[in-house]
Parts: sequence; C-alpha cells; structure tokens
Amino acid sequence: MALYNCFSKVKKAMSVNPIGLIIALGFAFSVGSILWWMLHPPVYVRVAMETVIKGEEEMQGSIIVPITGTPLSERLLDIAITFAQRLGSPLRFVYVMEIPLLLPPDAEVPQEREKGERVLLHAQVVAEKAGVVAKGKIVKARIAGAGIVQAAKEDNASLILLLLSEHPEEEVTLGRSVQYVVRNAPCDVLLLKPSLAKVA
Amino acid sequence: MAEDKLGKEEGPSLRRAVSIWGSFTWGYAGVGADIYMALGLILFYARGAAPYALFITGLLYVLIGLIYTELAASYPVAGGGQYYSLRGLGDFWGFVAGWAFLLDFTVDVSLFAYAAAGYFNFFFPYFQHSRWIPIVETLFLILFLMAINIRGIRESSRLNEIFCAVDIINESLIIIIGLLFAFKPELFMHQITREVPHMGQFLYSMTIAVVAFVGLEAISQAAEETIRPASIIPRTSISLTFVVLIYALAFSILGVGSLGWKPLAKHMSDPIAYLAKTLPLIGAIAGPFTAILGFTLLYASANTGVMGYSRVSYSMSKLQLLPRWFSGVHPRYRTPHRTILLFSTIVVIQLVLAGLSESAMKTLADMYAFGALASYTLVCISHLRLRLTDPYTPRPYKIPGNINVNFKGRKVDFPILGLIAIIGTSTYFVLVLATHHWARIFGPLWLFLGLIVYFLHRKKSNLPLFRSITRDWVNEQIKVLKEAGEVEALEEYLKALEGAKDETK
Repeated sequence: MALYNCFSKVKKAMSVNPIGLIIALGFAFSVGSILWWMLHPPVYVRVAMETVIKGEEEMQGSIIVPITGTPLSERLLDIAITFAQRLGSPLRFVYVMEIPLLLPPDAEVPQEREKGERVLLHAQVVAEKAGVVAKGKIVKARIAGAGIVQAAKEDNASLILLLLSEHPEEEVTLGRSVQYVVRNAPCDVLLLKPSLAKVA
Repeated sequence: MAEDKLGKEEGPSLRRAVSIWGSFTWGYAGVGADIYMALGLILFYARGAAPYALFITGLLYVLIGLIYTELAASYPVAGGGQYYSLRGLGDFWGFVAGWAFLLDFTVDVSLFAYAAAGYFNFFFPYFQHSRWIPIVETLFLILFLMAINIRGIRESSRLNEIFCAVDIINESLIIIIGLLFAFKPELFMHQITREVPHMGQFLYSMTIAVVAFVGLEAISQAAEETIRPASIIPRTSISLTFVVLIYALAFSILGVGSLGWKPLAKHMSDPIAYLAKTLPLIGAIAGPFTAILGFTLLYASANTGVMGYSRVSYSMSKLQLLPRWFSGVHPRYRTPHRTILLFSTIVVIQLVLAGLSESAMKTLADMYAFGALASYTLVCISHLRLRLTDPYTPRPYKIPGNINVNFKGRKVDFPILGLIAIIGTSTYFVLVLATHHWARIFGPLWLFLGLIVYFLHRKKSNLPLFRSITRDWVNEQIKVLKEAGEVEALEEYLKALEGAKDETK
C-alpha cells in the first residue's frame, strides 16, 4: 500500500501540463538556437581569430609571398591564396623596403613604411576573407631578394612563391631578385609566369 | 630588421586570446547573475504583473544592449560607457557618465555581496530573519574582496567559462522541469490578471526591474579583452542580451505560475534557490545546489564591481578627468590599491547606511537604478552623436532601423531606435527620480560631490572646466584597431579617412 501511495505521488508529480510543455519547448528552442548561432560563426570569423591567436613561432612552415601593391602582386596574392587553401599552410606576406646604398642599412623611410603597411593590410584582408591564416611582415634589405630569403629563413618557410614579370619596367629589379632567391633560398621556390590577361 | 605592428606586437597586449564562449561568459559574469538577486525584489513590487514589468523594461534593455554592442565593436577600448560619453559628448559629460558608473560599480559590490549572503543563508534560515546578521556577513565578504584585490588575484578565464556553462545548464533545468511539472496555468492567469499592483506601484516596479538587467558595461569589458572584437562582439553580445532577457522572463513566468508572487517575494534574499527547492522530483538536490551556485555567481559578480571601479577610475585618471592619484599602482602588488581602498570604503558606508533603512536590498537597488539609468542615458546620447560626428569609424554592427540623412554635408545613418532608446532611458530616469526616495536624495548628492572633485582637479591642473582637451582620436582609433588585429576595419577606416581628405581638398 505504501509503495502504491509512493507510486501515485510520483505519477501525480510527473503529470505534464500541456501549456507548460509549450512554454518549456519555446524556452529551450529560443535559448538553444541563440547559443547555436553564437557558437557557429562563418569560417572567416574563426580564421580571423585564429590568425591573431597564432604566435610568430606558429608561422613556421609558411608560404612566403612577396607583395608590392602592383596589379602583378595582386595576381600573386590570388594564386598564393589558392595554394594555401590546397596545402593548408599559413601565408606570410613580405614587403621588402629596399634601402639604397646612400643610406645606412637600418634607415627609416616613412613613406615607404606607410605604403608597406597599407599593402600588407590589404593582403591580409583578402586572405582572411578567403579563410586563410595570413600574417604580414616588413623587411629592410639592400635588394628585394635578400629580404625575401631572410623572411623565409626566419619562418622556416616551406615554399617561396615568385612571379616572373613581363612588364619591361619591372624586369630588371625582379630579375635580379629572382636570381638571388633561387640561389639562396632555404626552401622550395616556385616561379610562376602569370597570364597577362588575368592581371588587372 | 624592423617589423611592423601587423607582424609583431610592440609591448605587451592586454587582450586575451579568449574564445567565442569565453567572450560570452566574460559578459555573462557581469549581467547573468542579476536575476538571482532581482527576482524576489521585482515580485515584491510588481506582484503578479512581474512578467509585464520585466518584459517592458526588457525591451529597453535590448535597445541599450544593441547600442552597447555597436559601440563596443566600433570602439573596443578600456573605459566602456565612460569612454563613449567622453568621445561623443566631451570631457564634462564623459566625467558625469564615468562618475555615475562609479556609483553603480560601488553599489554593485554592496548589493551583490548582500545578495550572495542571502544565498549563503539558505543553509541558515534563522539568519534570514535577522536584520543585521546579513549586513555583518556582507561586510566580511566585502573586506575579503578588497583584500584579495589589493593583493592581486589572477582571473581564470577557464574557470569562468566552466561556471557559466554549469549555471546555464542549472538555470535551464530549473526552468524546464518547473514549467513541465510545477507550472499551473490557472494560477498564472489568476496572478497576472488579479494580483496586479496599481499604476503607481507598477511604474515603480518597472524601474526596479532595471536591476535585473544592469551590468551591460560587461559587454565593453569583454570587447577590451577579446581579440578581433569587431568580428566576435556583435555575435556574443547580441546572444548575451537576448539570453539574459529570456531567462529573466522565464523565471518570472515560472515563479508566478508555480508558486504565486507571495512566497517568492517573502524569500527576497534567495528566490531562485527557493524556487528550485520547491520543484518536484529534483527539489531536494536542486535547492541547495542552486544556493551554492547563486552564492558563487553573485559573489563573482560583486568582484566585477571591484574590477569595474578600478578600471573606470584608472581610465578617467589617464584621460585627465580625475587626479593622477587615482591611477596609482601598488609598487609591490602592481594593483590599483588606492582606488580599491577608497571605493571599498564607500561600499562599506553605502552598506551600513542601507542597513539603517527599511530594506537594505531595496535601498541599494534604488541607488543602482539611479546610477545605471543616468549613465545609460548619456551612453545612448553619445551613440547618436557619434553617428553624426564620427561617421568614418567602421561599425561592424549597427543597430537596426537607420535612415540616411545629410548632416553638415555628409551622408550619415541616423538611428531611429537609438532615439527611442534615449527617450526610454530618460523617461525611466525621471521615473526613478520621481518614485525612488533614496535615489532622489543620494544620487544627485553623489554627482554633486563628483563635480567638486572634477572642478578642483581641472582648476589645479590648469585644464578647461567645461570645454574638452584636444585629443587625437584618429591615431588612437588606428592604434586600437591595430592592437585588436582588426585588419579589415583598419583598412576601411584608412580608406574612409583618405576619402574625407579628398572631399575637403
């Protein structure tokens, strides 16, 4: 009898009120959906957080991408992002401030630095939107090639991407840099010849 | 070799690598515990109409929450509401807002420590009936907080995240089990239609309901601590705003519909633990567990008050709104010991004075509502003004309901909901002044004392009394965006500035 009484008490306590059930479902659904929405941001948000959280040491094995802010450099940016997506490697954008021999090696060129920061910023934004972890770095060197090699050594880079120019005015500089990088790079170097039609 | 700031940080960064959940829990620590303290108080004054009072006040709270989200994502800097007011309205109003926040943070410590003592006394029911025992317990809790903060404590983000998760699960279980097995629709209908207060009392209860949502400063604190605030804060803050509102409404509906307002109003010091205790099936375990959780959360929330007044007074001192004395740091512990000592003393005075009144909790809640509404009104006005005067700063999130207007030859987005928020907060502020006896006296007195400090300091430092000091907001904004790693917002900002330069040429 005592067991029966206990059972009926539990049964009575367990009776679910339909209106209470509807409110409880509405509550659970609304809180659950808000938290789910919060915890599932678009990929670029997660990449954006990851990019900042990643320390310099975690940029080891990155792909080195020298950029200059020219249309050709934009093309290299697109290709580099495709490579990074396929290989799953972070990108290291490098802007080399070429210091003329008339100045000491550590001389500051404010306009050049400002341009470099702007170019790196843009590259990082483009990479971030494509869901690729990327960081930028300004390097000072006498020639661009030396700066690129130096960045590759510091990052223990896995690959350097270079674009061959077909623009006559860029041929000499880039040519000299390409030669330097190919001879001195601590990692693989990939030379790409862009289709001029694709260069904006 | 030189490296730019995008590659490496220059000097130590204050920001923590908190996750999305971490950012949410940072805000939750400030505002999530409010309902533990406020439910009994609101039911006491609003009676069966508590869900209405919470809903109406909740609408205003959502507007303020969205405004904070926009501001915190756009200006993720130390100082929060005080900084937004300074930037939008100038030094004088920046000081007034900051000083009102300091009142709020001091009351936050006394009120939440007092409420924590209430949950502690769940295990000692005899103490609950005493007038002075909870006050003495609260004094001990405040002194302990003061001591550990002067000594310096390490906040554990991970522990905070776990506590928040446990609390959300526990609150959800109480609500769901309560609604399923204890909710009585007929009692609920009777309470919300028959057991309602008269209009004057209802208006008063609406202003008391503000305390269920106070702590939105936590959003700006979370923004300072979060990496990539522009991407993360809109998501976490909007979620926080709505989750807190849903819990507050759910608890009031469950309370009114399962027990009626009277028993919970009687247990004003530990309403949620009492509600959990009366649940069928799990009540015997849920009651004590909720009491322990409530005590912990409320005490942690009181600690956010100590952090709040340390941070705000430090920021005000750095911005030359308060004397440099306020930004002094202990040589050994590296903590702002002076401000902790000064404001903790004020907290103790507030508590003792409140203890002499008819109801300590009600008096403290009065003061809390005054400080919150004064500062929120200024933040809402600043939000509107910044939309007009600083259209170049990227706003990763904008409150909905904007119309494009011409302002001084520039196209700006005028926020209709922002204007409604100003009307709402100022109406509530007037209501507080009209209906809260203690707030009407001590609130303006607090502001008056602050203004004396402000004018003396500005005069002594040869700074303008009413005008603002010239500040380089543009470079500061660039620095903040760089520090936060907000590359997209930074590029947008630089482009907007270049565009503005071209326009002036």
